Amino acid sequence: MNYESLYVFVNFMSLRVIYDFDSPLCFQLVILMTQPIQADEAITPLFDYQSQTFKHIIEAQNLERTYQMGTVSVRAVRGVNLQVPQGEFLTILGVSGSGKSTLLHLLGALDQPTAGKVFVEGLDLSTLSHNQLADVRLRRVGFVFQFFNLMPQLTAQANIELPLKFSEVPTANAHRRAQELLEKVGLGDRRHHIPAELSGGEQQRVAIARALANNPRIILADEPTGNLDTNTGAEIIHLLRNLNQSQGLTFIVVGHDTRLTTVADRVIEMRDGEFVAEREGGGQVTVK
Amino acid sequence: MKMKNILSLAFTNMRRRKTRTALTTLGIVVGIMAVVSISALSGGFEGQITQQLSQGLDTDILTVIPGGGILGGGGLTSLQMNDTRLIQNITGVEATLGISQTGTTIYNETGGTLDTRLIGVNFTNLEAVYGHRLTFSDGDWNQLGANDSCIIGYLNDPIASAGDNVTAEVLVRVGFSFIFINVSFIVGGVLEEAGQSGMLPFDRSIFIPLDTYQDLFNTEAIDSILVRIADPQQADAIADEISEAFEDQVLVIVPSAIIDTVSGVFNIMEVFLLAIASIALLVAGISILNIMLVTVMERTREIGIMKAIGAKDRTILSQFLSEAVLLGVLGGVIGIIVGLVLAYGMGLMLPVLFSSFQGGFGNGDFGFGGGGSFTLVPVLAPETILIAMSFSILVSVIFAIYPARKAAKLDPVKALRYE
Ligand SMILES: Nc1ncnc2c1ncn2[C@@H]1O[C@H](COP(=O)(O)OP(=O)(O)OP(=O)(O)O)[C@@H](O)[C@H]1O
Ligand SMILES: [Mg+2]
Repeated sequence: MNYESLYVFVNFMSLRVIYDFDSPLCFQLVILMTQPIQADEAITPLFDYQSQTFKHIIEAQNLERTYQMGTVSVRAVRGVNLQVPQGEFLTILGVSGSGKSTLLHLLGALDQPTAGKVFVEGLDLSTLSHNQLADVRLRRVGFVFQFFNLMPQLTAQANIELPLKFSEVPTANAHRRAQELLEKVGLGDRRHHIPAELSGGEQQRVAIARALANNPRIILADEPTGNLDTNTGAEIIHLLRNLNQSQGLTFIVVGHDTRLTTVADRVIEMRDGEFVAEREGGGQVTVK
Repeated sequence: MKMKNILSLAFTNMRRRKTRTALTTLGIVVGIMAVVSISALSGGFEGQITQQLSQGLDTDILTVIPGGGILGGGGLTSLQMNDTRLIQNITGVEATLGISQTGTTIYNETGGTLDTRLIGVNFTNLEAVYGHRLTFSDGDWNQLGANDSCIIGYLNDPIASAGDNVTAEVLVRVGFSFIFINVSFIVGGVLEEAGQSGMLPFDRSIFIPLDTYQDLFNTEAIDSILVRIADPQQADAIADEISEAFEDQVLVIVPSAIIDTVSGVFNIMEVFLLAIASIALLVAGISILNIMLVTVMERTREIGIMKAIGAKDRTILSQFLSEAVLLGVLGGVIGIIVGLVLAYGMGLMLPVLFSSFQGGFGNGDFGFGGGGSFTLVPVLAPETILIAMSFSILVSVIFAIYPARKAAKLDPVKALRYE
């Protein structure tokens, strides 16, 4: 048997197959596998993307989201208009099923509207590619969820490093940044614990630290206290408001928790996919 | 995301499901193990056989035996000494040697006994064909005039010296019955170790004059004619001429052709066995596909999380593909090691089986290597290792492409809701 030619053939085929199935992506995998791993570069600014000029850091125009379930269609969001200035702490209240989560997903580039537009830092999301939308989630908005949504196999530290790795921050920098963030949310001593070894409040702190990793200016939180007891919930709300005040981060927080209204700058009430009321929030800096 | 980080996450995920990883790898291990052990064994076997064949087959010696004819039927029933003249006339032929042989047991004066070949030859012709190769440790060509003289082979431990008497016990046919008779010979010479040439196992033989042999067995026929040619390159051409001279009623055995045939058979065997091994790999691939699909389903929520915090489709895809690459590397390495161990193990087992066969077939008359211990050392070419490794990775990656793409294309919101 002619081994040389078989070997060449096999390698050629493996490249062909990988290349053909998912053109540049898989092909890059093969190239990357054979490339030496890059050395850490000097510290680079965490976000250096071009700032758009914008009046509102988040804006929604006639936003619609209809779910089609067979013949039945559910209008989860019905013509929502929203303008959020930079640095605002906005709370959206509403009963279950009123469309809060759906709206938040649309604002955070996690879901695409049926009609209408979302602008994030002046960027029209409808003009962005699939990958660019992922980049918006990676660098421009941070998500905090009711059920924490941490990666169960990763330690607190590694969970926070994950988005930093997605954005290719050098290892040493990512490591340091994750450590700083853990200190900031008061979990410096829990770095090496996996989520299962942390309390709900601690897990939510890790999730908040993760949302802050790539230094976004917008945090979207979906019922961040919904799964916590009263005291822990208060602590988390306090932490969010604190970050809003100290760093000028913009917060859109969704939930039933009335304490959210006491810290909010503005409160919007939602019902059946529509904004039904809007008022000024308590604007308090601490939570009882 | 950098490859380094993708790989480290892949490692974490594989460690998390140790049993599953092990089971997935097992499929590949079995496939690669089969490929490796088969090629190592057949490589070793082929090397062994070819080596032993080429040792026993002098490329300048052709062997002519009765037979041939159309469709292998017919042909001469026997050869005679006169036939050597026909061959002698062909240009390129240096010398010929007609031989007849049978099995025998010989005894020396002190009662020592040995099973050997009894070979009838014309000593002058023997010297003409093999003189350059045979040297005597005792005695010489000049002491072989009488028709009861003989030459005994090296026999590992020479059973007699020049001038001694040896007795050969042979089975002959008298009328309708077979009887054993004892024939006495005077040793004229004892050979140094000379190995084997074609059908002549020098070291395990006793050579007696052909006339005596023919008288003993009451025949005019000889078994075969060995032909020494001047130029081994001419072997095929001379073989054709010999065949023609006998109107295709004989078979001419060309040594290099035997080696080619044996190699050819091994190549066919190898391809066949590799086909079986490929099926094993295919099955392994399908099991990877299956297990990966389950894994993707199980990790749906995690995929949703990764996408929600900014992972690109490509990151998810590379994540699963690199897990497959790792599985392939792991399975490949283990498979190669286990395959080699298996090949060595079987290499040790086979000779045991072989020797029992040889015992069963008597003296191992035509046993290659003259009854010496048969050892099988697996030979694994470096290319085979590379091919096995490539196949292992290739199979893993190919069958992971579908699940990986499925994972990469999950809708993040739906994935996050997944329980
Ligand atoms: N994937 C989907 N397919 C079909 N309908 C959906 C889907 N997701 C949400 N809906 C519907 O859209 C409406 C709004 O849902 P959404 O999850 O946004 O509400 P919510 O205000 O976040 O409720 P909760 O407080 O319980 O989280 C609901 O009627 C829900 O049934
Ligand atoms: Mg909700």
